[in-house]
Amino acid sequence: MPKVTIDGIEVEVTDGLTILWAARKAGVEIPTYCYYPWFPPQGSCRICLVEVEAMMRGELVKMPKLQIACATPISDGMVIHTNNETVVKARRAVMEMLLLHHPLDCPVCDQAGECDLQDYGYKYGWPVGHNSHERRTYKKTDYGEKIAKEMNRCIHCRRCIRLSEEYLKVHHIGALNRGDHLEIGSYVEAEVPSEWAGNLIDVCPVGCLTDKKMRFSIRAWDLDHVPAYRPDCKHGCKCLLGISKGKIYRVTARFDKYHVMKSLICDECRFEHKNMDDWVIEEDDINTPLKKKIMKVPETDDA
Amino acid sequence: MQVIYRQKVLQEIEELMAIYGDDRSSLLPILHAMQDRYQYIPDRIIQTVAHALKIHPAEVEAVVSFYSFFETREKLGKYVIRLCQTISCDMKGKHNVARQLQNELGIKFGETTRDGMFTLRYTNCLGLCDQGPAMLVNERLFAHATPDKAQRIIEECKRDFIRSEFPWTVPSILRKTGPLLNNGTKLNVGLKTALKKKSKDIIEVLRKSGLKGRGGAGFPTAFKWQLATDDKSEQKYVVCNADEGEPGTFKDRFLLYEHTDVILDGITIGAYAIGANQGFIYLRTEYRYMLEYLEAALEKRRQEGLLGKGILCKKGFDFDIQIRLGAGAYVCGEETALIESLEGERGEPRNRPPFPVDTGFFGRPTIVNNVETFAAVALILAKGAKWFADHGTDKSRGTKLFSISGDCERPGIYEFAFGTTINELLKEVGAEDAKAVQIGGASGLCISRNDFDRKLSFEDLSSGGSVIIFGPECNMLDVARNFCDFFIEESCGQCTPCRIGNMKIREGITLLEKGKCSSSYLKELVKLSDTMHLACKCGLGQSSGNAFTTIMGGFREEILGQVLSASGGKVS
Ligand SMILES: Cc1cc2nc3c(=O)[nH]c(=O)nc-3n(C[C@H](O)[C@H](O)[C@H](O)COP(=O)(O)O)c2cc1C
Ligand code: SF4
Repeated sequence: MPKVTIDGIEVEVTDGLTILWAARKAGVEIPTYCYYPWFPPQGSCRICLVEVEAMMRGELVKMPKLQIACATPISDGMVIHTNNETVVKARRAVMEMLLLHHPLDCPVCDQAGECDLQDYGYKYGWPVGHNSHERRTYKKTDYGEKIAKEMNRCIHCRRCIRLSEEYLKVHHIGALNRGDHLEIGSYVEAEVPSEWAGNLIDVCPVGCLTDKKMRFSIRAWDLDHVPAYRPDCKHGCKCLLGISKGKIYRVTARFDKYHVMKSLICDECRFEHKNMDDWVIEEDDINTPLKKKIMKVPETDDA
Repeated sequence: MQVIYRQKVLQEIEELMAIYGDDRSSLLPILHAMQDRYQYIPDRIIQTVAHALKIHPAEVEAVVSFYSFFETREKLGKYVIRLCQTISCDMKGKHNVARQLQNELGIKFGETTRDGMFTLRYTNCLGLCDQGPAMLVNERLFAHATPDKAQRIIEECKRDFIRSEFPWTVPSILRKTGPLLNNGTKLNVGLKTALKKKSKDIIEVLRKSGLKGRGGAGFPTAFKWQLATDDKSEQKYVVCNADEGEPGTFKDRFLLYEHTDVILDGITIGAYAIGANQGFIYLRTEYRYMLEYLEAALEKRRQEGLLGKGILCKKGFDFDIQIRLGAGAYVCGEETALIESLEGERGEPRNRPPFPVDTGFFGRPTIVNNVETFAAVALILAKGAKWFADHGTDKSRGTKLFSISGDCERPGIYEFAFGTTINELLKEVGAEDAKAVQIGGASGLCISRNDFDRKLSFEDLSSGGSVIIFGPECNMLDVARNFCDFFIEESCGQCTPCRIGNMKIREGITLLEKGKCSSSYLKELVKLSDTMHLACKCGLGQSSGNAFTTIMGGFREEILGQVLSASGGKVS
């Protein structure tokens, strides 16, 4: 198995793995936006840039440009820097640029508290901005009754486009125009015609797509998160309830530690059932005093 | 109001699909045909095209909105006048022409006259930089535009160019030939020689010749072809990159028109060497006037047995070439974006690796080469590796065509051996008083007088052959702004540093113009463009800061002086 060194930590990884996963194995965090393990890497957000030295004819050679960790496969003997001056500078620049047009409306944003832009901005950003110009803004468009879209917050990671094309099998969302006018939109501004459309909310790393039904009702950090399922659901969705004081504010998919959905959930579970009686809590160690029904977990049909 | 009947459109699309195939890759040709017929691509056509190709209208809309030559919102005029706004034309008086066009037509740029006759647009580089200001009226090129000429052209449009005083196209100006253009070989000798050789011997000849790609990046051609040959895939493709979008280049336009057969020989040799049976010429839509001529050239070759089944009676070597039109996107010159565009997608560059030589057109091994590279290949096979390698420098063999424009006495196409210095070049073209020279177009470097002894070669100043000369009067900040605007318009926008970085640099230039940019902020901006160089996804973004950095480096005094004078002597 090839051995690589990441920030001085040597790890042995399976062949063909990308730098990102090798780093995760070594316990080194690399930020990502457009990368989502469900899709082939797109390599467009440029936040995961790292510096790579690779073995070439027995010699360690530094690659002239920074490489994207999400798509570059490792090779034996590689030395990777995720935190040296060049990388930090580039990452800060990317971070600053992403925030340049961002409305910074965190106080009224439902994503606040669980937003990748906030988190990475805090960790990797730089307190000095050079904002001299007007923000680019978009005409307000929407994705129907359930999904709120705030295009001004979008960071163009295109996870939503890829999720809808590759998993929901609907092609209503696409990138329009080019350059600075690039916009993510749905065809004739219509609703996304899928009973799984709500998953777009969960795949969005920022506050561009949010749950219209929970809008402005509670802050994410005031919610307790409880894994549950709905016995009546024909798909057997494995959901996560956002609860406060016995009331369900929202229902989302469950996430792994990299904030990636474990499986899709249907729109009925997500939007239509806010009554505790409809749900079965799945874990015992939940200290919220909720009625517990014991039932067999139905087969999931992960899309 | 023209009524668009869905049934009729569907029938037309089906006819087109019979020619271009029924897969996604026929999308661009279909859209071109639709735009020609209906003068725009409204929703109804988008839906019908989507229906016919079995894709979603959103996907068609995404593609249509990417390319600047497609229009979805309003019907374009019968004559679409596109005025080149790139630097060479800008320096030659584009502004006056622009003003007069607006006066004559009573509309602004971006608008259409109420009678539906004229639409006025700006466009980027038309490949007539040596004869600017250049205008494109539908597919007709006009050189040396003046306010007076603009008026005459408009009059002629109204008469549908009947008994036109203007030639139907503008010939290229060839100023200096060398071994490449004076090759003295008969037609098709290169191809005939190649077909007598084995694939590996052809590549060996190219390797010995030291030929490097002429499109700008300078990748060794033999190595690229070797990689594609080694791949044992059934289906492979050869693509000739005739997207020539770099501001200040116009040599491919000349080669395609005047040396068509040499290029087609080169492409056929490429196919034979790597084992491809399908080739494409990706022709930028600005050169559409050549389309008919090139199609005729291909047809003639088919009849002569130089294309089609069993070329030159060589059993088993079947190969044909299709021409695909771009639709106004500079980034489609980048090879992976070009392949996306051929596939009928938005022209957005892919991650590299994988490279096109193993995962190219529809995932198959594909070689993409510049027009001039193919010409060189054909001549090298005809005349031998040594003939070629005897010219140039150690690391940059051969001679190359340079497109020279800007403030000089004799702009045009020159063939120089690699290793020629800028001083020598300037003497030849009559511009010894030049203040600066831009080598490699908008994405290249701006060289100031101190460095005029630098050499045109891959090891020193590498380029695709674009040389733009700035005379002593030229305002370098204007130049920087023009290039920056070019990148903002042409960036595909998928990656963060290019999408936003270029906007930020332009803001900086605006501040400089207003005299409100501190030198410490200027330093930040230069650092930003260095970061873009390291961080962008494709060559466009990586090189988009080059001009800014080198202009700020070479002309700091001049530009900071401007800061002072604009702010009335005080630095704010
Ligand atoms: C933004 C951008 C634009 C490009 N435009 C062209 C072009 O117009 N013509 C061209 O031949 N190569 C162009 N290239 C270079 C191609 O990507 C590619 O390197 C070239 O076609 C390879 O051919 P060669 O090896 O024969 O030079 C461009 C590259 C970039 C990054
Ligand atoms: S560098 Fe610019 S043109 Fe290239 S992929 Fe990124 S956004 Fe697109």
